[in-house]
Amino acid sequence: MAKPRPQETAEADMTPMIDMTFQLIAFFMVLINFTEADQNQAINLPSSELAKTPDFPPEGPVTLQVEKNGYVIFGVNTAKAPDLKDLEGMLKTEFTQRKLMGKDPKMSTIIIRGDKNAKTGRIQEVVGIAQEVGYEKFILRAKEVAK
Amino acid sequence: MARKTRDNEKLNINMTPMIDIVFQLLIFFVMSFKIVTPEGDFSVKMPMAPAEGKMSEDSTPPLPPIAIRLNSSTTGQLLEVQAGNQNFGRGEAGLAKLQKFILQQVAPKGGPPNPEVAREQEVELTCDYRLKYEYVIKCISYVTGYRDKNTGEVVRIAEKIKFAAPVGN
Repeated sequence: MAKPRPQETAEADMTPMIDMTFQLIAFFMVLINFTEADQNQAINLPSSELAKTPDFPPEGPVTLQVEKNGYVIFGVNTAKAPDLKDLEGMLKTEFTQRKLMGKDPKMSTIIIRGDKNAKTGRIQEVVGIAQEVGYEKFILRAKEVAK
Repeated sequence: MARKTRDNEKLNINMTPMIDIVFQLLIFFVMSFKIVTPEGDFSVKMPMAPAEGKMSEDSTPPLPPIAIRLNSSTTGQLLEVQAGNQNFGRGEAGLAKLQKFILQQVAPKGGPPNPEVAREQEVELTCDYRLKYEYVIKCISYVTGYRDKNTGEVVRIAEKIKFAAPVGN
């Protein structure tokens, strides 16, 4: 009968795997974008060939997302403002908070992300309320299409 | 005296904790990765209208705004595009005709409009309340500029966009 061989330890070379893993981590770290967290994917933006990615990020942005059914989502919160009075209250609070923090709220930019099937009148109402509160700079956001 | 290093001694570092952490990081980034389509902006400056008779000090006499009317069907489709006394028809064809009309206003001699004129030219949009928002963005795209076919550069026509109160409800 054959004698059993002394235990052999198999040592795999881990270097290529670790290299690949680090490359994957670097890839995801570069591409990850936490600032876009306020993009509600349920909103189907209208597309435009001329909408341009801003050279600089807007100053003190406040995002208002208008859903197809007219509900407004304020900023990164999922709190919806079904009533425009609620939205006015939220915008006023934000305006006052910015003032207390020593920032000029008039320099803040309101980003409107409206669903392409939303009613124009509803979006104009939202803009009107922001104007009444005191905001002056607005950005209408659209999906960029290939040139 | 310095300790002598022994020859042929293999130093074994335990890689397991590092690989564990690396995989956890990898999983974190994979899970929080979100494919987002690129988004572009149209900047619109809309201050509240000054009270009657009150003009800001640095205000210069503006170019006359071009009034555009967008009529919609009951379902929110773009039914009619009007500017001045002209009716340009419906849908994208109407918007393309509107663009030609505005180009004639801004650059009557033909060719691309003067960038300074384009910067100052104001367009006022009056839309039906129920008009789908996508048509407004399309209209803004047609009105603010076009892409030159030869160079691929964007040529601006009118950069100031203003909204009038919506019509109907």
